[in-house]
This record gives sequence, C-alpha cells and structure tokens, in this order.
Amino acid sequence: MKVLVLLQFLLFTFVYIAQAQTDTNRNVASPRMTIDTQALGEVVVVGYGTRQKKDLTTAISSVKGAEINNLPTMSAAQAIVGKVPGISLQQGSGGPGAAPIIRIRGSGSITSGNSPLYVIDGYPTSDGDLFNSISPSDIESIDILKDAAAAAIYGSRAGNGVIVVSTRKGKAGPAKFTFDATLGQNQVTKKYDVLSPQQFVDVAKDWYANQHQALPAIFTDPGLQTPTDWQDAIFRKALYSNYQLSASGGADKVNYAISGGYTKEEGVIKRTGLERYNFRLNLNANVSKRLKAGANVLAFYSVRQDQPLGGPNNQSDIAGILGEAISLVPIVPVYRPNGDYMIIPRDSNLVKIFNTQIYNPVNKIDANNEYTKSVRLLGSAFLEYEVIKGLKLRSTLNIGATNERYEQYVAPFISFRSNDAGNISTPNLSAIRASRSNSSYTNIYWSNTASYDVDLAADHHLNALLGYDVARQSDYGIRLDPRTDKDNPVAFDNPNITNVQGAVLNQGASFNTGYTFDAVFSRLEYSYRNKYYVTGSLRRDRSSLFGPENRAGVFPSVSLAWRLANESFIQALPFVSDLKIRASYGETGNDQLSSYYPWLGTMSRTDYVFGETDARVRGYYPGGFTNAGLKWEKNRQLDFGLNLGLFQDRVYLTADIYERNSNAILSAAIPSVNGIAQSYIDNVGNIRNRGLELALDTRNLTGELQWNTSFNISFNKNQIVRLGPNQTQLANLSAGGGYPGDWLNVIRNYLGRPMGDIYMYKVIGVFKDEREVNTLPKLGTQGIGDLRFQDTNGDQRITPDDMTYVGNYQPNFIYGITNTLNYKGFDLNVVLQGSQGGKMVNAFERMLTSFRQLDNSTTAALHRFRSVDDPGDGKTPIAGSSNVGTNINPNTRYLYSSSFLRVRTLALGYRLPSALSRQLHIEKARVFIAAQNLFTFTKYPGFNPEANFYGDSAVQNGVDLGTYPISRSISLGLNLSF
Amino acid sequence: MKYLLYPVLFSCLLLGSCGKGFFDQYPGDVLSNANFYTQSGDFEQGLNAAYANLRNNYRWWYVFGDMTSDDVYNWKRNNSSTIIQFNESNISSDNSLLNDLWNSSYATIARCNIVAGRIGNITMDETLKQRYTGEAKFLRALIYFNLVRVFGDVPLVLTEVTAAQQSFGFAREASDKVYAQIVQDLKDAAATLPDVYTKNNDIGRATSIAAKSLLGKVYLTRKQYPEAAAILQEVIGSGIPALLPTYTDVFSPDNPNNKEIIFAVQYGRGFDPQQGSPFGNDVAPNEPVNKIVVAAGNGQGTFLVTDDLAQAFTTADTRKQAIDSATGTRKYYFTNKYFDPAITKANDAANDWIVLRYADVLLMAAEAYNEQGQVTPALTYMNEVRHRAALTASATTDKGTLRTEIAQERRLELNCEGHRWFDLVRTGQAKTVMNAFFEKYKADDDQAGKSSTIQDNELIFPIPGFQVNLNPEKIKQNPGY
Repeated sequence: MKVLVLLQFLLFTFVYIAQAQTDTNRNVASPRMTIDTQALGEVVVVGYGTRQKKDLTTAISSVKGAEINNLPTMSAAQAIVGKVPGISLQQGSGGPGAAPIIRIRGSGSITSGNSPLYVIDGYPTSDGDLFNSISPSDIESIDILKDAAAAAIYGSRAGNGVIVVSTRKGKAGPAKFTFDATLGQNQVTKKYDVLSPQQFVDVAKDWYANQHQALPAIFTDPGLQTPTDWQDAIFRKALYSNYQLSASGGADKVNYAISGGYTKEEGVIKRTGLERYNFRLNLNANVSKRLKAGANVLAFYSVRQDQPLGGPNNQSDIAGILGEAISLVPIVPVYRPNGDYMIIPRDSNLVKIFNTQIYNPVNKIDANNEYTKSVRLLGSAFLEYEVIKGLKLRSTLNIGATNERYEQYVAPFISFRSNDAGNISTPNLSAIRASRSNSSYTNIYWSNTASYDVDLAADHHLNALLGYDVARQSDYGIRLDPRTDKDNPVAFDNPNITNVQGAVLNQGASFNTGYTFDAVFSRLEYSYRNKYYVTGSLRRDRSSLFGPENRAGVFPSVSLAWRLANESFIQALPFVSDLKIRASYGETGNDQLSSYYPWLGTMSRTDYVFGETDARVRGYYPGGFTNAGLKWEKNRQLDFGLNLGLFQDRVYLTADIYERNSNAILSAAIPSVNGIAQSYIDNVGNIRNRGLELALDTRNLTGELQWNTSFNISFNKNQIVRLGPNQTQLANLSAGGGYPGDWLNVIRNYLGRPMGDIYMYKVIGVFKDEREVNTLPKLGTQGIGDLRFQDTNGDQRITPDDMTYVGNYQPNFIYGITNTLNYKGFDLNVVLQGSQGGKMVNAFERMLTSFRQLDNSTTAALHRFRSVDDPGDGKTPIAGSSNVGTNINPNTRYLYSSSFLRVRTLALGYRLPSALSRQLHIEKARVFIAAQNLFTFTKYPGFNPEANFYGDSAVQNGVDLGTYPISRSISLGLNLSF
Repeated sequence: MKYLLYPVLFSCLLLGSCGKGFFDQYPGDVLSNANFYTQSGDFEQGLNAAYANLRNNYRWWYVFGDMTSDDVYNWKRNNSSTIIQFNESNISSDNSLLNDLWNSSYATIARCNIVAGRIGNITMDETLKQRYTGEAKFLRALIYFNLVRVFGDVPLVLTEVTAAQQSFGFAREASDKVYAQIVQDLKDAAATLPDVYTKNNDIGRATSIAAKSLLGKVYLTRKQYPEAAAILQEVIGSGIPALLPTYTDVFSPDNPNNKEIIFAVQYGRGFDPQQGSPFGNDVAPNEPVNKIVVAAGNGQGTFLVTDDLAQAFTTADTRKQAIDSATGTRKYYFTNKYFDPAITKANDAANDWIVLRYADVLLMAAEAYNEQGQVTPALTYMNEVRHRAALTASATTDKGTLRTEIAQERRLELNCEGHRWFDLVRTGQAKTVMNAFFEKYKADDDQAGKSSTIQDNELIFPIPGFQVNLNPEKIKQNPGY
C-alpha cells in the first residue's frame, strides 16, 4: 500500500515534469505580491532546499550568523543558548569545549537518544561534537526544524528535531578577509560554601563532646593545623584564546571561502583543557551555464585533557576530585614537609581522626595524564545540473570521518581508594595505569535529488522534490592497556620505569560495527497567489539498525498555511504588516539507539576459575532476547502556528502550539523468571510532549540609537502515556549510587507522570528532646538532634514507603531575552537565559552534611541543632549524631529549586568610524569586551543549577553529583575585515 | 524528449536501490544467540556461565543465611539499609537483595535449562553429554533448593524460555512440587556425574558426591530422616571427602577444593577481569581499627560476628581461631574465613565460598540418625567434628540433649558460611532463638536493633515486589508482606 502511494507520487511528478516541457518558453515569472521587510526577505533553510521566511508553512527557527558571530563563544551550540524558543540547551558541564545538551520540544524517548539530528552543509549526522567544533565565525545560519512537518523530510532520524547548519560561502566580488581574535580569562562562577577551618574545628569539637570522646590534639593546637582551601588547590584562573582568519570572494564562475583558526581553552580545573585547530574550504563553480559543481571541506584537530571529576567511586560517593576538594577537612595540608602528598589513610597522625575514604585531589590531578586527540573531517562534493529552467538534478557525495586517540597514563605516585600506597617518595608501581585506544569512524553518504520549481499559471506555484540517499557507516576501535611487567616497561610518558612488580599482563579490547541506510523521499509544495500554501512530503527509510522484519519505515507529513497578510481585508489594516496561520502534521523517526544491533540477542561472556590451583575458564550465556520485529521510534506531531507582524514588523510575534506523541522503544520489564533478561527492547512506550512557544522580536528604537529585543519563552509538558504490559513504572533509579542502600529509588518514572519524578523523605524538623524521640515516628534508630521525617502514610513509623513525591526536574518554562543596542560605533549585546519551576537533587551535599570531625561540611552546619535552648534553624541536625546515615539519606534537605536567570552574555563593542578605518585600508574594525556567565540568579547552592550527573538521560536527570563547574569569563576581542 | 531521459535514469537509481543483503549487518565482535550451542565445547562454556553465576547467587547469601540469625550483624553507620532490614527482621518487599537473589537464581536456572534442553540433539561424546546434563541438573537443583527455602512456593521453570512474552506465563508452584523436582534432578545427577575429576580445569565442578550430599540436605529439610541418613552414609562410605586436620586450613585461599570441600563457589586472585571474592572486604570493620585487615582502605562492616557467637566457643575450641577481633568506635569480632593475606586490591580475594563440605555432611548424618533415635552413629559423626576442633568427645545418649548439642556444633563449626538461619528454620527453633537474641541484645542497636522481633510469617521472605507487580495474576505475595 505504502509503496503504491509512493509510486503514484513519483508518477505524478514525472507527468508534471513532462507536461512542463511543452511550455518552457512561457515566461514563468508572475507578479508576486511582496512585503519587503527585512525579516520576511530572509532565506530559511528547509530540508534539501531553502525558502523565504514568509513562505514557510512549518515551525522553523533561524539564527543568522550575524547574530552569533559577534558573541565571544567558542562553539556554535553555546552561541544559540537563549536565542530560540522551543529548544532547551542545558549546560550541564562547564568543561572546556563542552556542548550543552540540546532538546527540541522536550524528550520523547526513554532508551534512545533525545538529541536532534544535525545537518551540516547537507550532511546528516548525530555527532554533536562535530556541530560543536564549528567556529561561530564560520556560520552563515543555523535553522532549527521543530515540527514534524519540517523535519519529516529527514525521516527516520528526525524525531527529535533537526538543526541545519550552513557555513559561509564566498560571494562574487573582490577578496574579503576577516580576522577575529579573542583573549580571555575564565574562573569558576562560585565556590562551594563550606566551613572555614575555624568553623570546622567548632563542629568537630561539638562532635567529640556529643560523642563523649576525647578531643584529639589537632583540634586544640592550631600549630598542628594547616589551613587549606581545597577548592583553591584544584581551581585556577584559566586563559583562553581564539584566532580565526578567513578569506572569501569570487569571480563570475567561481567563488570561494577559506578559513582557518586556532583555539585554546584552559579549564578552570587544573590540568584540563582543550586545544583546537580548524579549517574550512568552500568552493563553488559554474562549470557551464547549466552545470554547477562545488566542494566543501571541514577539518578539525583537537586535543582535550580531562580529569575524573565527579560521581561515586566504587563503594563511596567520595571519590571524584570535586567531591574530595569540597569535603576534605580544611586543616590538613596538600603536601607533607618531605614533598609528598598528604594522604589521610597513609598518615599515621591523621588516619584515626579523619575520613580515610577521601584522598588528595591534587595528587590525583597531578598523577592523571588523560588526553583525547581527535581528527574530524567532513568533506563533500556536488554536481548540480539544471535540465530546464527550474528542474535541477543534484548529486552530493559526503565523507565523514573521525579518528580519536585516547591516552591515559596514571603515574605511580597516585594514591586512591583501592590502591593507596603510592606517593612521590614511595612510587607504587602496581598502581600505574596506562592505556591507549584508537577508534575510527567513517560514513559515506550519497545524496541525490531532483527538484522542480515552477509557476504553473499566473497564480499557481509548484515545487517538487524527489530524492534518494544512501549511507554506509562503520565504526571500529581498538584498545590496549600496556600495563607494565618487567619485560614490557611502560612504553610511553614514563621511560624511567624498567622494573615493575605486581605486573598485570597487557589486555585489550576492540569493537567493529557497521550500519547501512537508505531513503527515498519526495516533497510537493504548492502555493496559490502567495496566500495559500500546501506542502506534503513522503519518505521511506530502511536501516540495518532494526529487526529484519521491520527495516523499512514510511514517514508522511502535510502542512498548510494561509498568509492572511496578502488578503485585501488584512491589507486594509495599516498596522498589520504580516499575518500567517499555519497547521502541520508529520511523522518522524528516531534511530539513536544505544547499539548498532539493538534487536539482536547476543552472547555475553563471563569468566570463572576451577581447579586445585586456580585456572580460568570462559563461559558464554545469552545476554538478551532477539526481537526481529523491532522498528523505528515514531513521533507523530501536530503543530498550529501564527506569525504576526505589526507596524512594519517592528513588532513580530511567532507562536506555536504542538503535541508530540512518541512511540518509544523501551526496555519493557518482563518477569525475570525467564532467566535471560529482565527486560525486552520493544516499541511499547508512549511519551507525550505538549507545548507552547512564543517568540517576540521588537525593534524598539530605530533612530541613531537602535534597540532591538528578542524574547522567547517555551512551555513543555511531558507525560509517560504508556509503558510495557502491566508496567506502571520504569525501574527506579538512584540519585547517587554506590554501595547497596545509597539513595536508591529517588528518581522514578511512573505511568501518567512526566519523566523523572523525585521521591524523598520530607524533613519536618529535628527531634528536640527525649519525649519527641520516644513518641514520634522514627526511621530506625534516631535520637535528639536527628532529622524528623514526615510519616506520609500515617503508620507511625518511617519506612522507605514514606518517601514521597517532592518535585520533578523538568522546568515549567524556559526563556531567553536578547537585547541589542547600537549607537554610533558602539554595540551592546545582552543575552539573558532562564529556567523556571524545575527541582534538583544535590546529591553532592550528601558528603557535606554529616556534621562530623571526619570531613568538611556546608555552612548549613552553622545553623545546626545544639540543644533545646539553641535549636539552630530547627531543621538542621546536630553535630555528633550517632545516626548520621539516617540524617544523610535522601531527604528534602538536598532538594533545591533549579530555577535560574543567567546573564549569559554581556558584550560591548566599538566599531571604528569608517572614515578612520578606511584610512587604515580596513573595511571594518571592531573591538569588544565581553563577559560570559557574569551573574546567575538562583537559590541553588551548587556550582551549576543545570548540572546533571547522568549526562543527557531524560529519565534520570536533575541530579548534581559533581560535573565540571561552569565558568565566568571576561574577554577582550578584535574583529577586522578588509 | 531527451529531457525525459534524466528522470528515467534517476528513477532507475531509485527503484534499483540497494538490495536486501545490504542491510544484513551483524556484529563483528560478539557471538549471537543463533550461532552458539552447536558443539560440545559450547555446552561446556554454557555450563561455565552457570557456574560463574553462582557468584551472583551467593553474593549476598550471608545476608539470608547469617545476617538474619544470631551470628552476624551489620555496622549500622554504613547506612546499608537493605542489609539492616535483614538484621532486624523487618524486610520490605522492595529490598533490592530479594530481587538480586531472585533474578540471579533464575539466570543460573536458565543457563542450566538451555544446556540440558539443547544438548540432546547434538552429536558429541555420550559420556560427556551425560556429565554435562548431570552438572546442569545439579546446579538447577541447588538453586531451586535455595529459592524454595527463601521464598516458599516459586515458579518452576524447567525448559528454555525462547521468547520474551513467555515470561508472563509462569506462576508460583507448590513447594512440594519444587522439592519433588529437586530430588529427581539430584538423583539423576548422582547417577551420571563422576565421583571425582582428575583434570585441574574440572576440579570444582559438580560431582556425584556433591549431588548426594545436597540430596541428604534436602531430605533432612523435608524431615525424611531414613532417606537422608542412607544417602549421607553413601558419601561418608565413599572415602572421598575427609576432614582436614586443621580447621583454619579448610578456608585457606591457597588451598581451594581441598579434601574437605564437596562443592564451593570458586574465586581466584589476581586475574583480569577480576575473579576474586568480595567477602573479605565485607567482613572487615568500616572504620580504621588497630590493625590492617584488608589490603586497602577499610572494610564494609556488613558481615560482622555478633558478641553472642564470638563468646559461644569454649576455651579449648580451635575453631575460635577463625574469629578475629579489633577495636574502633566499638569492639568488633569478624570471621577470617574470607581473608586473603596476599590480596592486592579490593574484592579480589582467592577464598572460595563453601557450599557443601564434609563437616556439614557429618553433622547432617548425625542429625538424621539422632532424629531416628540411632544415637550411636549420631554421636560418632558429631564427635569426629568435635575431635578436629580439639574438643572432648560427647557421650550424651538422650536424643533431645543430643539434638541440642548437634545444633550447637553446627553453629560453631559452620558459622559465617550461610547455614545458621536455615538450620534454625529447619529445626523449628528460629522464632525462639531469635526473639531471645533480640531481647538479650536490644541495648546494642547495631547487633540486634532496638525492637526487633520475628513473626511466624517471617520464616520465609517476601517475593520481590517488582515481580509481583509485573505479573500480579500469576505471582502473589507471601502473607504478611
């Protein structure tokens, strides 16, 4: 049936093409009513083509190069933060070059990715890093296809929306050069508010008094203390610099754009950073009157240095460098007198007093040498032939390649939880870790289209597109751990070690996977008198990712628009400059699965030992069930939109409401008695996102002082509509992890609820006296000064059943405001970005709220319960409780609002008067000073209210457990064109 | 008309697009379910995977077998609430350890079912085929025996589940039916398995001695004393297993599969990926104490010995040497049966987890004879165990007194090996002993909890709540949970 529809469509198009032959001599130009305002004349990129903004029938948001070229950001993704409605950019990590997590119209997938598809100069990819590597100064435009009708032309991969990136092309004319330079300094936006040495000593004294234990001398003799700010020990003021040079131009037959650049960004955490080289070449030639050819090459080389920052290590939350830096006691030194690192568990004076699970973060940073070096290439070449006027055949061959080399060497002075003997004076050779891996990814993508653009009769305009794309992708990697033995000393970074005991033999790993894909697609657009627009598209995709029974998927879409502005009754209203209403429906797919063979059950390996002397044997068992019927995740999206321009578009409103239903692939729970799998990958889930997006652009002042404001706001409501059979929730997720019992079941996903509900014990105070301890409901053993939790089910005891819904990570709305002012040569650019109504769990604080002698605490400890007469703020427990474990279980003292308003960018530029610059033979010269993340208004006490330890998971989000802090940067820059 | 050529060419390209084979991508780095289990070696490796999963089955067995009893407790400040629930007999159905045991048990069973079910059609050495089938049946019986003692009635899955949706079809079966299957499997295994293995790579696999010993334990649990005595007598009469002269040698990390071991979950030190046991880290206190007890950092303090057990040994008893002590914020006792002095990293000890050993067989035989009123053989076997512990022989002749003595001997001999709770339940003593223990130690919150008690329904544990909710028609919860 679907094939039939497709064939009819093909036939229809061919017949039309043939008919059009007969009157090629007819002058096809018809008088079009045009409203010549700046915004409407803009060209917007739709899939496989461009349209004028006024002719759009779908929800597409655009960011022009000019809007972001002047921002002091290093990546394209960071540059569009706060600029577009309906797209959320969560800057979860502030690491050098870290990309924000991008969501277009919420999350529709549980197990697959929720990231959009990127189309970079016609090359579709899900590689966010490639997108993020592109220098903002190379960007001509970024167009975000939000509704399914806009995205459906990309079919099976467009379910999460599409971000189309176009890089700059040369224009006919003399050579133009631009040079951009930025120099700046980064530092953390804030430090964690922990106790000062004196405050810590007070808490410790309280602890010893309440525990009736003798106070060790270190707490009474300041001579034994070394005040240390551990955050200062790992953070630094970091420099960054960025230089980009470009040349572009063209003669009548050829135009070109060439650019190259260098970027270096030190991380605010020591021994982290990113260095990147980039170049780009774009060449277009009119080979003959009808034949065009061109090539585009993007190349990047980057070196990133990392440190293991956050999260639980093995069996304790205290592990990552950040956690250690905030929880280490502030009265011990970084180094010992002999130059060794101070390591609490190995220090005979400290080991009995302080937490032996916290190691020295400076030691780890210094010992860990971890680099990722990657080369990314994207090259394409095309031929385009205009058969007759308006009928173009185009064939593009793209090659995408990434080669990534990862190297880690951990020096023998490392001291960590499971192997802590190393130090400068006592190198521990068995702790050396060394590994190298190399992965290579290639993708050959061939895209062919035929498009026909014609005015059929006076008022009828038709555009048809047909295409066929095919791709073959392979992903290959090897890893070697050249751990040393005495015959094979460490081969790199440390040539001095020649004799190593406790050696482990080399081991390796590899992967080798492939993926194939093809698609046939078509689109037909028709407009009548530039008033009525109809667009339909149909696409069929096949992919090797899915079960053999369901490889093909068909993705239709239809959209309608009525441009009321061209109706006489609206034209009679002088203040209305544009008015259009739109409606669209489309289906798109999602193929961002976690593996290349998600449908296939594979054997898993396990080892065992037998014998009177232990000898290893190998075992294999089925790791899951095969599902030959697994198919695309399908998104069905309905969108209604409105464009309204008033007063010559000085006020321009774009509004969209949508409903997106995602038929999600889900790991559906099945009874585990089958013994093979506890879940089964199938298309059984349904996630619904409904939302409203508004964008309001105003030109407030247009005189000598120009003032433009863009405001956008997005509301999205997310709901889990369906799960597997008898399944009312996904498996509960932890907000911490580690040893059994640590903050399990905090993040929950229930049927009928949005993804990512947070469940915790509600703190209602502290036990003030013996009577309260004896009569009120308790969680296990509790005493005076311990936290009181709400008995939500009224059974007079506190059990895990009393953990109750306390919030959800998803905000009610997100918004951005951009103000641009121009006065004479000055320009001021202010970008504000905000989020309202979300909650988040600061699991990081778990290790900072024990209020004890072992480790440092947050300044909340200053409001602690001391006695009935001095109860503190009435909700903060005592120091020296015997039930610390209960006080630090998942309770609402760790729950915060994640709402924030951030001054994302504040940039002030000055452009030299043209008269002056012309004397210098410079067309344009601009200097600027800019600040990024200057202020963040939030009640959240952690480093970053957008942090999420679980990366880009939609079902486990809103948990801060140590991600790279975001930084505030101040920079100076120069833009020259000549 | 020449213009028509282009669309025609173009459409040829479209319609003649890539053929079906283009999409048949299979992983280049892993085996798929379809192409395994085709030859003899595959079945050995399939069985190895079942053995390997015993490590998951027994990972928290001490929590079920010892934590629940008067022998072992958890240091509360480590905040291991799942374990504390067992210590205080206050187990909720969402306790993750229930789910872990349930899931891992059925995983072992499935691996056995696949081997036993698919091997029939394979052309291979017939003796080996018999042996593999026997091993599969032994492991399946062992796991069902654990399941039925922990949960009562359980779903009985005896064939391979080939499609995910079939998983919803299994309901809980009466424990009598489960026991009947266990007995049948063990009889089959005893008949087909060798008494001993000679190749080092095979030593540690199930033997007929192991099958008979386990069958003895099953009969004893079912109070079929004559059958128990008879089958255990076969084990004793075989002359294959024997007591080691020194008690602590039995647990030595460098003495795996020694004469006394009948069946054990195997661990090895220094392999990569790690093949070591985690118990050494669990037993060590979770704070710095006055001696180094694990290779790095502290232990977990989830497997500490109660004062009650530590003080139960008489002065002469050499088995006391397997209990160590240290002082931190409290006085700790802990077993050293799982310590590996040569350990270099956490959770990498070589000590095996012993499932069945000869001392257990002797004490089971003693119990089986005594319950039939045959005091003489009962005394003989019990005194063998006492003798090794450097204790004088008992001369008790009263059946009731001897019953108490055997129970006490089991406690001292087999402590911290996952037996105590099941012994208490089997002998009907669980409520009495535990409620007395809770009362006696209620002042010590770590050891007993302040207000712990055991009710009748708590002699079996809750079915994992998740499994009940997922299949509510077939899987009903145990009463009281």
